[in-house]
Formats: sequence, C-alpha cells, structure tokens
Amino acid sequence: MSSDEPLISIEDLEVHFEDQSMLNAMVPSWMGDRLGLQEQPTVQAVDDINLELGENDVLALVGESGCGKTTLGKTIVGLQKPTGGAIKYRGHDIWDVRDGNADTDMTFEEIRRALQIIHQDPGSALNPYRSVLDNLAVPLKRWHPHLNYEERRTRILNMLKRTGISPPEDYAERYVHQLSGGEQQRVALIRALLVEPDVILADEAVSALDVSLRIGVMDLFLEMQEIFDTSFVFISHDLANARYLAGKSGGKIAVMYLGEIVEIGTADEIINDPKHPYTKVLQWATPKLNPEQAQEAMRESPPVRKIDIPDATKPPTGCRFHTRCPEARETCREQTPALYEDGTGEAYHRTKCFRSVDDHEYWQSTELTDDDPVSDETASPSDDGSVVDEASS
Amino acid sequence: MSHQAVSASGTDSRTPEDPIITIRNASVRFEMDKGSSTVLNDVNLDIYRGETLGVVGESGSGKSMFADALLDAVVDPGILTGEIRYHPEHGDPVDVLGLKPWELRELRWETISMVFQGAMSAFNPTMSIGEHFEETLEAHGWDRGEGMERARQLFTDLHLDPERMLRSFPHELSGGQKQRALIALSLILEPEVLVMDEPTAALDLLMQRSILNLLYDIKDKYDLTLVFISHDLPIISGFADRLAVMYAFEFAEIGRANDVLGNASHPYTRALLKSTPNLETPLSEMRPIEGESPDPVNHPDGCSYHPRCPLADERCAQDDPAFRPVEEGHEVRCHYWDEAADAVPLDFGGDEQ
Ligand SMILES: Nc1ncnc2c1ncn2[C@@H]1O[C@H](COP(=O)(O)OP(=O)(O)OP(=O)(O)O)[C@@H](O)[C@H]1O
Ligand SMILES: Nc1ncnc2c1ncn2[C@@H]1O[C@H](COP(=O)(O)OP(=O)(O)OP(=O)(O)O)[C@@H](O)[C@H]1O
Ligand code: SF4
Ligand code: SF4
Ligand SMILES: [Mg+2]
Ligand SMILES: [Mg+2]
Repeated sequence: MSSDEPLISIEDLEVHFEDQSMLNAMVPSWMGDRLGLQEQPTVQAVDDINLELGENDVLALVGESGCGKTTLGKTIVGLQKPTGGAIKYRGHDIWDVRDGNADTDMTFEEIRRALQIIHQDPGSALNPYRSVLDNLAVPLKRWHPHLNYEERRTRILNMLKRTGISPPEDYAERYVHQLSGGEQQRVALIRALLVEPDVILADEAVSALDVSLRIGVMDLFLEMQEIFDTSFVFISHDLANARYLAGKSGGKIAVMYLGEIVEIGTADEIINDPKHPYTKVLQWATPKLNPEQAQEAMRESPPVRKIDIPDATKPPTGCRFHTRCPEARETCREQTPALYEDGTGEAYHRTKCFRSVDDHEYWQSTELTDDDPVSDETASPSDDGSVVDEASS
Repeated sequence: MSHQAVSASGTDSRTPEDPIITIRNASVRFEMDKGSSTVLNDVNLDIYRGETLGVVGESGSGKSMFADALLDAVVDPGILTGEIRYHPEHGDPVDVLGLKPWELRELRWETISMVFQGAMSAFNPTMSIGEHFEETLEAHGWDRGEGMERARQLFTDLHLDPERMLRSFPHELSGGQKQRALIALSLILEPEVLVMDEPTAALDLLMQRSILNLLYDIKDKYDLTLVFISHDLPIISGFADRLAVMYAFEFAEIGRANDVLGNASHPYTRALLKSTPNLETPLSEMRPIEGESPDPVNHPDGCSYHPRCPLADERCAQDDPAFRPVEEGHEVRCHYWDEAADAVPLDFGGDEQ
C-alpha cells in the first residue's frame, strides 16, 4: 500500500439527520405521532469538516455534549454514512467500496476490521451473562481463527494484566455483570485492541474510567500505537485527557462546536495558546486540583453569555457560537468565519474566529450584548435552560 | 448495641457534629467459588446533617457497595453486616438493617433517596417523564396534585421547563436533562438525604459543573444532606464540604475537602492526585499509581496499601493502621502520614499548607 495515501481522509464532510428517519423506523407510528416525530427538522450534526488521519496518528475531538463528536467519529470509522462530502480509507471511498462502486479489490469487511470502536457504555459491547474470557474470545475467534484455545487465553490474560485487572485468571472467569463499571470499561477496551485495527475510535472510553486509571489506559493506547501503529480518534469532553494523549503522541486536538471544528492544533497550541473563545470555555470547565482554585471556580460563572447550547436543528447564523460568545460582535451574526490558519512559523493551529484576522471588519463592528434581540432570535423556546435564560429577557 | 463503643475506632477527633446517618463496622461479603470476597471492609463513618460529603476512590474500591449499604440495597447474594442507623431530627434512631421490607421501601424514597450508578437508563422508554412521577407518587400513596406541583417546582429549580419535561419521553432528552429529571424524581417524596452514585459521570464537563452548581443552590432550599460518590476527585473538589477517600474497600483518609486536597496525608491520596490528568501539571509529572488494587478475596495483611506504597516497611506489612488525627476534623489511616508529603511530592499550582 502506498504510504503517501493518508490512512483516512475526510473531504467537506457533512452529516445531516433528516426527518429523524431512524427514530421513525424504530418506533411504531402511533407512538411516533404521539411523540411528534414527524415534525422534527433536520439536525446538522456535522458540517464542513476536512481532516486527515495518518498511521500512528492521534486526533482528539473535544466539545460539549451534542456537538457532533460521536457522529464525526462514527463517520471516520465507517459506521455512519455521510450526507455530503467523502470519507476515504487508504484512498478508497468507504461507501463506494461498500456499495460495490469502487474500482478496487478492497472489501468492506476489511475496512470494518481496520476501523474499530470502543463505546462510551462498555456494557453495550459485552454480554453480561458470559465470562470475561468468553466475551474477549469473540473478536479473536472472528479475526484470528487459527489461534487455539490456549493461545487465545494467553493473549487475553496478558491484556487483562496490562490493563491493571488483577489477578487476571480470576477475572477471566467472572461474568461481566460481576465487574465494577471501570473494570467493564477496560474489558471493552481490550476487546477492541485484540483485533489489532488500524484505527480505534475511543468514544469517551477514558473519561468513563476513574481518574487514577486514565493515565494508565492512555499510556496503554500509546504503547499499542508504538507496537501496532494504531491510530486513535479519541473523543473526550475532558480537555485534560485530550491534552495528555495528544500531547504525548504529538497528535492534534480538534475543538468542536455545533457540528463544526472551531479550533484545531497541537496539544500545546490548544492548551497553552487557545485562540477561540469557545476553547477558553472548555478550559474554564476543566476542574482544578488546587483546592482554593477549585472552590473559586465553583463560584465563578462560565465565560459564556448563555449556559445552554442552542438547538442543533437551528444553528445560529454567522458564527454558530455568536449567541453565547462573550466576544461576539455584529459581524459574527452576519458572516461565517473560515478556519483561519495561524500564519506564524510551522504552527498547525487553525481557528474559526474573526479575532484571528488582524484587519477583519469584526474589529470595527459593535459588540453583541445580552439585551440584544439576538438572544431571542436564535434561542428556541424549547431550549434546555430557557427558563433561566429567558426569564430575564 | 451501643455505637459509642465502636466509634473509638476513629470518630473521636472530629468536631462533635450532628450525625444523620451513622455507619458502624459495615461489611459486605460475596461468597464466591474461590472463597469469600470482602468488598466493603468494616467501615465506620458519620454523615452529618446538612453537609455535602464526597466519597472518592478508584474503580472497584467499594464506593457503590458503600452507597448500597446505606440503604440496605446490596445486591444478592451479597451479605451486609454491621450497623447503619438513621437519626431523625426528633425521635429515636432507626436501625436500617432491621427494617421490614415495606418500611425499607418507604425509607428509601421518603428519607434517604438514591440515584444509583447508571440509573439514567432506568427510565422506562415507553413512559413520559410525567408518568414516571405519577407512578412514584401513586405507589407511595402520596397526593398526586401536590406531588406534581412539587415536581414542577423541582424542574424549575433545576433549570428545566416543567411542562415540556413532563410531556417528554426519555429518548427526547439530552443526558444532562435526563440526569436532572432523575434528580428531581429522587427528590419528589421529600427525602432528607440524597445519595448520588456517580450521578454526573456520563455528562460533559460543562454540564457536570452546571449540575453541581444547581445542587449547591437547591441543597438549602430542600434542606438536604448530600452524599456524592465519584471516582473523579477534581470534579467534587470545589463542591464537597468533606471528602472521604476510599481505598481497597475501606476509608483511607477523611476530612474537610480543603485539608484532604491541600494537605493530603495518606500516600494513596497523594498518588491519586498525582495520577489525575489536568491542565496545569507538566505531562511528565503525571504518573499512574504503581501496582494494582487488591483482590477482594485476598486482602493484604497489615495496611491494605502496603504492596503499592513507597513508604511501606515491616510494620505496614503487619499492622493495620488505625485512624490518626492530622488536624481538627481530618484523619488518616497511615502509620507514617507525616512523611507522606516528602515521599510523594505534589505540584498543582498554588501553595500547599
Ligand atoms: N441518529 C440520529 N438521528 C437524529 N439526530 C441525531 C442522531 N445521532 C445524533 N443526532 C444529533 O446530532 C447531534 C450530534 O450528536 P453526537 O452524538 O454526534 O454528539 P456528541 O458530541 O457525541 O455528544 P455526547 O458528548 O453527548 O456524546 C445532536 O444534536 C444529536 O441529537
Ligand atoms: N455482584 C457482585 N458479585 C461479586 N463481586 C462484586 C459484585 N459487584 C461488585 N463486585 C466487586 O466488589 C468490589 C467493589 O465494587 P463496587 O461496585 O463497590 O466498586 P466501585 O468503587 O463502585 O467501582 P466503580 O467506580 O467502577 O463503580 C469490586 O471488586 C467488584 O469487582
Ligand atoms: S467569530 Fe465572533 S462569535 Fe464567533 S467565536 Fe469569534 S468572536 Fe465569538
Ligand atoms: S501505613 Fe504504611 S503502607 Fe500504609 S499507607 Fe502508611 S506508610 Fe504506606
Ligand atoms: Mg458522543
Ligand atoms: Mg460504583
């Protein structure tokens, strides 16, 4: 395989969920009527994304709940079909391969194996009424059918031990429902690692682990990466985890807001030199260990004009963050910022904010404030938190 | 049974506060093929009326067992022993483990309410949120009109639109909304104590932090004692009044949150702080905790942390340390607590005491 093809490339990617067809298909129509499903408008879950992922790469996606991390992640590993743009694995459009429209002998099965996922909820990937050993034997039997029972067992015990589950022999015989939440998460991680894929999408797999294990598991990711050249798409709402994994691997952090990447850069650039006002909000939300700082932060209100994220079916005009951004001005409501490159040196840093452009008309335009009509214009009455936000306006 | 006698194990050094729940020698055992598994080991603790107590510890350390024990809700075939007492403001203490099933059911909702770990998925997908509230009120013979009024008030206090919430089905809500709905539901029968086992773990940080702020605000209004269980020490550091650090199925350090963080005196607490990803500590300084947490079937002799502790010596391998006072209201179970700061240096910006 030619090595100049990136492992994964994403071009102008867009995932819109039209009329909730998934839900409509799942729910009987009488119930759908009752729930008013038909009336649901389009959710613009992911928009305008261009990215590349190489071998041995790490891409950390961070942002609030509902900002599109899972949708983008699932699209990257071929579990979600985009509604626009393209997603390619080693130069082949994944969905063309699946539909038999690609001129290649690569199979969809091959792609599926190369791209694995670890879910947020470990239970979903494991059978609670089978032993840990049985659960972990499933991927090995499927992808390494030549292994015999003893070989499988040895590999599994080895991985249990390396992920800190001890004594491995005991745990291997336990049923999944006899494990604590964190123990289950590690078993789910092992399950994905045993397939030796090219890319692992780890969807909140580390944030769900207890604090004391996070660094150990991230070190395990890094170790796997070294041994097998595995790349990671690492989803976390916790900037501190993203900092560790991307920082140690030389990967990148992409900050998402309402389906778009608003800032992307190296860990150092994002943590120590955040440019986008939203990245600064995430930084505020990351807890401090120092007790005085922690208590102070508890009392502080967040550096946003509104606490709740707008309805994804009605993303604000212009810069999507303008309804909450403390730096927003008139221009932000009317024009959409591009992902501007940081002009300095070798920096990878890009920011989707007018403030990154020195001579932008933004600087001459008037500030948006909360008593501005804009707050009512974009906040839908059903917005979570509207009780607080609108009571005063 | 007088619990004055047993409280000698460690409550003496605390300021005399008004306990609402006292836990004495609480243990949970599971009989397993390979032997008896002790997953809560002789735990003693007082929960003070009106406080916010944070219980932290790593995965598998027994936090959920502790929470379940408070309500005699340990799953079968687990065996809970010891004494759990609820102390009403007026009247005689209630022996929780001696209650009849119907009394226990009443206690669980109307006195000590609990948000179980992973409970967000406990909503019935075919029932609206409002129906969940009605069902609970009916099952306990409460007046529906008054109850639903209280539900609306709770939603408003949790920054949710009451009418919209009551109409909604669980799948229509975001995680943060569902969790707040669950908190509202657990408060519907006016409990005095709310025990929350990892209530915000599945939510993003901004939402976790918002929920903590809301809880902080409603706590006094509803006259609540909060027990907040989490593996995420930093999340609760600004929120809890007191912290109890669990290690290997028992408590290792208990004290005011400021003291436990700023003057961490158990080598484990310090190692835990050092292993916590954050934005300030240099990457190279962060360290996972060496070794593995003990097997509940084979507890180590002596101090349960000794196989992993950099300070451990012969004495630690043999004698299980008792709680010792570090300062007022702050106690630690370590023979060499006064050497812990030098053995496990910490740097997370700001002054240590
Ligand atoms: N199958 C679907 N049908 C309709 N809308 C969807 C579907 N999947 C996701 N969405 C919507 O798309 C948006 C992005 O969701 P996504 O799950 O990608 O966010 P996320 O960043 O992963 O959030 P979280 O941190 O809560 O996991 C949300 O508004 C969500 O409600
Ligand atoms: N049903 C069960 N049977 C036997 N052992 C169990 C059972 N449930 C839990 N355990 C064991 O009891 C110990 C304590 O578990 P507990 O669930 O209290 O941990 P925890 O501190 O809540 O962990 P987490 O942070 O992962 O939720 C663990 O060693 C676990 O493996
Ligand atoms: S473009 Fe305007 S609204 Fe958007 S982040 Fe920048 S300053 Fe804020
Ligand atoms: S008693 Fe000994 S082994 Fe236990 S924590 Fe203290 S120094 Fe370490
Ligand atoms: Mg997600
Ligand atoms: Mg638990």
